Amino acid sequence: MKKIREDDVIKLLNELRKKYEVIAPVKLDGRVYFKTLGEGDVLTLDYVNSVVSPKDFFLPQKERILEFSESGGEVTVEDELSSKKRVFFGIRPCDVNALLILDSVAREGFEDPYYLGRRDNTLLISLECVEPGDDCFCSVFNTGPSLDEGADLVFTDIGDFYLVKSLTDEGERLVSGSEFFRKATGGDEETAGKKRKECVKGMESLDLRNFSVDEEVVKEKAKRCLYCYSCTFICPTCYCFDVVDRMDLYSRNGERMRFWDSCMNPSFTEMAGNFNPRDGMVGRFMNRINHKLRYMRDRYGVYGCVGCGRCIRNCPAGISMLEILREGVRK
Amino acid sequence: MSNQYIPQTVEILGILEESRDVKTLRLDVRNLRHEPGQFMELSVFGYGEIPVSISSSPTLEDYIDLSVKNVGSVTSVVHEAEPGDTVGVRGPYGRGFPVREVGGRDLLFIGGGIGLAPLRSFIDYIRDERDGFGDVSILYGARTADDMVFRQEFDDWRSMFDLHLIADVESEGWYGRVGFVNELLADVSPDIKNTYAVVCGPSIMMKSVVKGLKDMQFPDEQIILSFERRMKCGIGKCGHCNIGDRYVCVDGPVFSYDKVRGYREIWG
Repeated sequence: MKKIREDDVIKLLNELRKKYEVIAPVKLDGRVYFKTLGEGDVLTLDYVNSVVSPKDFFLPQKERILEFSESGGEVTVEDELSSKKRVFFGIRPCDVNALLILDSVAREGFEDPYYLGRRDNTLLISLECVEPGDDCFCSVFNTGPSLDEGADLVFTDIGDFYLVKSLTDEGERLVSGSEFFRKATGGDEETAGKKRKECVKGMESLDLRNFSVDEEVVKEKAKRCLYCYSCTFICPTCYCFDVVDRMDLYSRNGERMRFWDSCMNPSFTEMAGNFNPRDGMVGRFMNRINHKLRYMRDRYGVYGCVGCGRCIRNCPAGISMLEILREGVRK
Repeated sequence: MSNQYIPQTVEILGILEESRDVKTLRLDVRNLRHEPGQFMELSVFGYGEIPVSISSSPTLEDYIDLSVKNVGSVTSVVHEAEPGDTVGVRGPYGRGFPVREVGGRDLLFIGGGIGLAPLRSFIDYIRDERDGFGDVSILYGARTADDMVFRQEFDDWRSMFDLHLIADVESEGWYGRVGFVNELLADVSPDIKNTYAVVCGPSIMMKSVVKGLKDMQFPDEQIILSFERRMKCGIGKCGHCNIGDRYVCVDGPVFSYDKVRGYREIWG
């Protein structure tokens, strides 16, 4: 195991910027966002998590999937992928687990080349949590605060240093090729272990074995929903998208875009001819909760929630997934 | 990694007017070898992409038919297309009818409106592979006689199969039955043990037909349903078409009733 001084992290990232596009947490207007580091950007290491989830860097809010000429005779693929490899620094364990969930969707059957291209092109350096945020509940789904798979390197805050664990060969190469890492001691590992344990203690623990969703309880919560869709857009595991064609009026060429879509949107399931198999707010809300807690588990073998707490922090109506788990789940 | 999102551009060979609001595009797609009941994603570049079931039999190797009802923004543009125009297609997608599993058995087709499109792919397949299947009955209903699709096939079908038609409402020149298609179930007496019912139509029609079939003691496994959903991607990624943990685009659109019974939102 290795370690790196806190002051050296920014030096390491600057070093990496010569070879990679480096995505890291920065503060904008007092809130933390992940951003491709450019000149003048100031890295922050003091954060619970980003407002918007890292999925934006893999499944962007909008992206062009193809271009076409007006006659339709020519269809060309726009290559959105930068040939420069990327390093994503500071991604939290819950969000790494969220990417593993998105992977299972992208890889099942036909592969999604846009998403998977970005995944393959990106090294992940995860920052474990040593203090839970107010609404964090990764302990419920065992998706944090520590991380044993899914990232290339895992950093743990042990005071003046970060303990560094490499989980992949590529991670190992990155560490061994850099002067900023030094050997960690058994005491360092012990400190990290203690901090992880403390962090778990600060969070909810719920036994999810053999659970089912109590629909009556969840329906009550649904009545407060304001239809803002925030929960789905900031969620690190929501993957639904819509596909829209756009024409350029002057060149008469066009592009096909995909955008994040939300199952909380009434038109999400509406078909031409006005038939909507999922009518009503309660039906949509129930689908969202069931999708996260049952359908994903039954289909992909993973829960569709990683306990990052973003939907709780950002719901204007105060609807809480953790509350739903506490009250709306029957053993 | 192959990119399933990229459509192939194909020429429209011909356009058949099926009814006042349904047109069939005959497309220059050869040897597709689809399963009856599978669908394609049809692109009109600049307007969008829609899922459309393949209405021609895989035994016809020189083209495919996509039958489109004029009901929305993309379909209205499809209706303005002319032979020689280019459209985009990708597919075939989804799971079609269990053609092998029902081989040798009797089949009872029940279609409503444009829901006859995927059934026609299977019916014409049986027409071309007649020895592989038992007795075939077709029950078909539409709002009016003018709304019935594939009328040019009816004489052909009557010569080989048992065809019953019904219109929801009366119209000039229609001397056949008036009522809903589930009422036609009373006209047939299938050997339940040896028969599969194959159903496609508007949701409310499928619901009442399934009820009728259950009243006749059809086992759930022998009721085969083809569903319509908002399948944007067609390949299980975009999340629009779920029924519970199933995606209609990859696990369907054809399901036997036992596989979907009990899920929320089957009928809407």
